Amino acid sequence: MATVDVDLPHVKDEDPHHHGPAKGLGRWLYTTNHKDIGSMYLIFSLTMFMIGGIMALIIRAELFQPGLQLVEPNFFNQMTTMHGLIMVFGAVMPAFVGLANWMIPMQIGAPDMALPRMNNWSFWILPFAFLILLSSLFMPGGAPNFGWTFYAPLSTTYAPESVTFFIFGVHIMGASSIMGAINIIATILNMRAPGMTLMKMPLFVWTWLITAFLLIAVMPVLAGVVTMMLMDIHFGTSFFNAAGGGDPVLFQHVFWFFGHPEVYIMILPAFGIISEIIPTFARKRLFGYSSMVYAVASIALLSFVVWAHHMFTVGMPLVGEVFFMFATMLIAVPTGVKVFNWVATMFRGSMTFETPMLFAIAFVVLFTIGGFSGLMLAIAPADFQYHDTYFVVAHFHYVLVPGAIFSIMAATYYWLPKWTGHQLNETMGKLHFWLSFVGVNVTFFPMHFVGLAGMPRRIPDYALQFADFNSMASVGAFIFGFSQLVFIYNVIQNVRAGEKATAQVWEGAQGLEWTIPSPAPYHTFSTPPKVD
Amino acid sequence: MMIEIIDIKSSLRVKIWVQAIWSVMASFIGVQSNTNRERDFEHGRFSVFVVAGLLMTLIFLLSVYGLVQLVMMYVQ
Amino acid sequence: MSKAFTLALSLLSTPALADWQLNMNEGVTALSREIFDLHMLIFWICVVIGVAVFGVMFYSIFKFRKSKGAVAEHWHENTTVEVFWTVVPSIILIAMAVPATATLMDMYDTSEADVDIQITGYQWKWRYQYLDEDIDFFSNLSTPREEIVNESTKNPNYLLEVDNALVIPANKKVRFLVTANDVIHSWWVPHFAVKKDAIPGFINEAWVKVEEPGVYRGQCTELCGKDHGFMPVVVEVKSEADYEQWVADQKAMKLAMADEASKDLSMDELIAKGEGVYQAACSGCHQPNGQGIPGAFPAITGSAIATGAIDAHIDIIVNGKTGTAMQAFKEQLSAVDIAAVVTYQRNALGNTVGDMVQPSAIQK
Repeated sequence: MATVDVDLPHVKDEDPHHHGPAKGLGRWLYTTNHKDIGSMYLIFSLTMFMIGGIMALIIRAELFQPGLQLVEPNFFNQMTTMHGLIMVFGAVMPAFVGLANWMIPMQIGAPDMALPRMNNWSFWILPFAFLILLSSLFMPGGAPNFGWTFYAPLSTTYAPESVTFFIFGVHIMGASSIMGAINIIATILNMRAPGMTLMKMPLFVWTWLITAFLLIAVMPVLAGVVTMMLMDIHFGTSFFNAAGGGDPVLFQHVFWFFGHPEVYIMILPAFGIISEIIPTFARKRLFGYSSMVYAVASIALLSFVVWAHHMFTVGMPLVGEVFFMFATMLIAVPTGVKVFNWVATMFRGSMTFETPMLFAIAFVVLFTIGGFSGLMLAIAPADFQYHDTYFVVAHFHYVLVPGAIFSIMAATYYWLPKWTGHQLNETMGKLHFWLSFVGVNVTFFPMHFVGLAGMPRRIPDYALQFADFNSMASVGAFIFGFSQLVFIYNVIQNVRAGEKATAQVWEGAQGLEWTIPSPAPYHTFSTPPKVD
Repeated sequence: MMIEIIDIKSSLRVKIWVQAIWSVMASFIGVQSNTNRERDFEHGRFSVFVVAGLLMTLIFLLSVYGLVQLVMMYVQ
Repeated sequence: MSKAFTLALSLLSTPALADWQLNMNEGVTALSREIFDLHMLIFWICVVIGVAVFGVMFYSIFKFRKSKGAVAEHWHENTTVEVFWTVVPSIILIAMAVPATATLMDMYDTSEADVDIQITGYQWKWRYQYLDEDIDFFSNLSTPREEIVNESTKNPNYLLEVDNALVIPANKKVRFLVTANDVIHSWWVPHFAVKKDAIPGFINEAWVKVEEPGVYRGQCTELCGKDHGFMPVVVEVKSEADYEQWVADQKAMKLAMADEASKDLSMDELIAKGEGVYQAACSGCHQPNGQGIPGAFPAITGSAIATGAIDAHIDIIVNGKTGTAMQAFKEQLSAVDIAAVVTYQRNALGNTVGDMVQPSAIQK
């Protein structure tokens, strides 16, 4: 992250392709360098993570005990909505795009991304999208308050005025994601070094290839659904307005047709990262590489046929209910058992437990717990009791926080020495890990209990029987939130100083990115490497 | 002589399709061996896999739907 | 300062009332117990798989450490093992789908009901209409504002209490026809395992047959706007005889109300009554002090409607305003209530129009 300390050998004037970064602000505004753009994505994502995190802490502070203490219900709804939107579209997705920008060219032996100018553009529209979204907090009527799933007609007929800004923001984010995805596909398919066949690609590259296809397939669906909202709000159509002959349930079908693949968009790159880290620190090749590639590829198709399991209580016909239950169960198993592959990789390996490995192991354990609650949610009759309760909140936070977010942290610690040229401060890294690990579990585990006991989600105040576990969750949230300051400290310290890192950095690391010096020079693989 | 060549060509084509469909089915259960992967990536054609994938997804949908109908009939 | 004090006070007082419930409610119907059993079955399946996976994993973590001299082996593929660990959970889950489908079919079988009740979600209250009897009423949160803002001690049913509970007979199949008036709500009683989305323009069906009389509490579970957390569901299950008595009482009460609407009230009486109606029906949006929420809900104080022509004022309360959160109150409030609240809004909350309206003049 931040400035890369570049120490290039003498630059020959006649070779215009070998130059260092430009000076000043212009370097960041006009850059087409994949490393600079990757860094900007990551810094942006971290900023959004902190903003979304502050909103989460406001939510948890209000829920620390029954009664209304700090915020009004309407503002509470704005916080839950913005927290969800910012974390999904502002923190998790840009972080993965940032990692892709940094690592994919280096992992496949390419000099840069295939479409560097579009790369610059797809990053630079993002801050504006989120400025538009965040500015709605200061508008009369407040920010969007209809939940990150923005179900109509609450988000159309009954929405605050700022919904139009929200729609505009979502359109820009969508355009950014689509451009990012096109760039990644073009890079992977066209820019691989000689000998780097598809079947030799690291899993991070593979999972991102599939993710990019998913993005191109579903972001237009999201854009479509917000455009339908826009038409309903401003141009008198009635897509989702029952009074005008429309159908509010149509909204949910279209939204989840985007939303379910979106879940995989947020977890597939994480699978890729974990599949890089565990073999490195187990000093053993990934178990079942082929199976992983095939399973991930099939998700690109099968994730499109299970969306309505988010809508079991909506009053679907019995046939639909049973269909989506069966389809969900059948798909869950082959993707879920990939956890076994990671365990099998560790089995009879030679393990060490540096910070990235700790995060990766925590990912495997806690993501599996999130997978289990997912299996429970797939049982349609039982889902009538789970749906829209804190059990669901616990479920998706287990797959997204110790899932996606932990994988991003693992990746950052894993590749940071390559970016900055400095070895990690393991003590501080481990401190961050243990604080986060404890914080995450104290926050989200009790949510399973209050959910089962009957606490609905998205409520600013609750009945007394839920009080104890809610205070516990709030304490955990503050531990987790503030422990991220350790993370920021670690990263900044690492950028500024540290023991010199070797090219390979980690003893068991394999792959092209570990053959170039640390820090990676501003331009890498200008002459393609030869892969056998 | 002519006929023989055509036969070899068409049997090769059938083989490519059968292999692609098997690979798609393998991907649906999420297990594939290294040998088959190497074969797919060295001799397979991308377009064949895309078509086979879409086809198998359709078949998957129809068979789950058929199963549901069967269960419904059986119970009622 | 006083806020900090009440905060500290409630901090001390609440834990005594809380409990540490860990699991789902088993419920009070045959169906809810069936669902509970499904929940426990899948839970134990997950536990068994979890113990196996995490067992192997932690064994590996402790045994195959480099610091203990472990040397990595070189195998990295075994298709047979992979097929095995994929197929086994698949079979378990498919087996699981059989009882789940059977339960689902029970849940969807709403035929041959003894009592039909239409449930309509409004922002932020429920309306219950008994389709075979002439009974129709609204059910509002009855927890006092002081308890919510921590100015008095919270009662044990905090946020789970209403003015008029839904009353149903025990041992009868009751069918619910669930819909909504404005946005999507969801009607949930955990002990019945009944959760059904209330969607404008749609009627969803659900049913319940409760064995034991008692009071069962739930909440709205679909985000429906500002007071989503404040629209509880309370169902009182009565024995058959008690239920018949209740139905008779409701009908008598309805006659009494019609009688009352023909009487005239003084301005003071109207304002006094109107204040209560305002706090219950209007203050959620327009705020207890009449200032509204800028950009979301208009103020009553100084508003063009509340200080303008009285007929227009009555009209917006009776018929609502389409396309906004202002709903039609003609079904929710009696003629007396509407007359009172109109008079109150015109002569309180900073308004001093000086006129009034009698219940007999309210055209519903």
